[in-house]
Order: sequence, then C-alpha cells, then structure tokens
Amino acid sequence: MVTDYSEASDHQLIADFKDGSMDAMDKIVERYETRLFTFGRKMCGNIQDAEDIVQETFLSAFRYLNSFREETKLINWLFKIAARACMKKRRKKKCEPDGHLSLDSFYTEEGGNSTYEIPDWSNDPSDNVLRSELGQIIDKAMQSLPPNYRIIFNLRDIQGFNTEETSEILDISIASVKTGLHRARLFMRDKISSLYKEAKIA
Amino acid sequence: MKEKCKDHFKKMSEYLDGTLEKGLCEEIESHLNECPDCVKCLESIKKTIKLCKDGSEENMPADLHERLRLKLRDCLNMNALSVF
Repeated sequence: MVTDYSEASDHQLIADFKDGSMDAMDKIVERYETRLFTFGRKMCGNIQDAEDIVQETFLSAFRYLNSFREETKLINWLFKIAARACMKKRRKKKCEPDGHLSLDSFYTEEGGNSTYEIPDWSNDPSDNVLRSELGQIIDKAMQSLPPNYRIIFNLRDIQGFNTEETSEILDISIASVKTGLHRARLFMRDKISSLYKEAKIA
Repeated sequence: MKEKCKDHFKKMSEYLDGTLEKGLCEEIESHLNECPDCVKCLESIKKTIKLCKDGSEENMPADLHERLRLKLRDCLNMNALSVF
C-alpha cells in the first residue's frame, strides 16, 4: 500500500523512513532534490558535479539520519551536508579562483564616473543580450567568485537562508556571513556589469 | 569614494537586508537623502541580488530523478543492516 505523503511533515517522513518506508525516502528526495541540484549547479558550475552533489548529499543524509537532531530543520541539515560536499569537490579542482576579497577593491574612484549596468530578466526587444546569454553571464560571474564567498552568496541570496541559518550551515560566525555576503554581492555586481557591457557591444 | 560614503558603504548589505540597528539605519537613510552616488550604489546591489535570484532555478536533467531514486534504493538496501 502506498501512503500519500504529499502533506506529511519532514519529521513524519523521517520517522517512516526509519521504520523502513522507501516511499517516505522518495518523498524526501522529491521535496528537496531540485533545490539541492540548483545549489550544486551554481556552486560547481556544471551539471555532472551538481548531480554528484545531490546524490552524495542524499546518500549521506539517509545513512547518517541518526545524527540528525529533530529540532533542526531537515532542509538546513541537507544543505550542511551539500555545502561540505561542494567545498570538498572544490578542493580537488585545479582552476578555482582563490583568495580574499577586500572591501577597498570595491571603492569607486572619487569623482570617477562608475556606472553599473545591471540588467533584469524582462524581455526587452531593444536589448540584444538574449536571456540565455544573460544566464551565462551570471554563471560566469558566479564561477569567478572565490568559493568561500560563492557559497555564502548561494545560501543567502539564491537559496534564501537567513544569516543565522547560513552561519549554522557553514559553521562560521555571523560576522563572517555578513562581511562575506557583502563582498560577494559587490563582486557579482561588478562582474555582471562588465560582462553585460561587453556582451552588448559584441 | 568619500570617507563618509565608505562608512555607509560597508553597511549597505545589512541595510538592504533590514538587519541593521535602527540608529545606523537612520544615519544611512539620512546620507542617502543627500548622496546620489550612494543611492546608485545601493540600487546596483539591489538589482544584482534580484537578477541572480530571479533566474536561479536550474532544470534537473529529465532522468536524474529516477536515477537518483534507483541509486539510493540500491545503496541503502545493500546497507540495510548497517544503516540503523
């Protein structure tokens, strides 16, 4: 008999999975796979690695479910596992950007005329940068953002976790989340603006 | 960038997120009333966040869901005795 799990809480699903229900497991996967895939894709920059992240995350989560504390949200715990998997993958890659972003590097020249051109997704026919190109611009910008900042940006601005949750997921201080996020946003702004301007001329 | 602007610049993200304490918030707002450069700066950050967030959902490959399901059942069944 297949139980209808569409309205079940995460905790109910976990309990049923522990009792041996594979349907409960399927439901948990269905509930969170897209978000985890999006996270992995944006962190790693390609589909294959994103698939690996999703798989590793669920495998790990289901294997170590006994260490999941029920007062935590399941989604936060899944992302903690996924974040670790992404950073581990990143360490194996050779061509990842590195380093520290300093706030001074974002200060504009005094009296200078720095205009930022940040597009939006509305389809402006006079804009010759296609939606697909725009997606690529964002992707390129994201992949050139150093991973420590990229992960904070991803969790906060893309996935919508708040500062406290992000701090918990990454096991870093609240202050680190705040400064990291600010610098990530500035980097993304600058990079997207310059890539977009280039694309418009091309 | 003027020194005064730099101080506010540091806190712009927190201001945007609504997590800045009231006093500092009011200081920034008062500064924004007289500094068009900082207004532009704030707007550019806001637009960046919106752009990245709005286009963010990725499409999973069509067969990934099924492959994942089978793989998990496979691995977890094999480890059935050691999972709990």
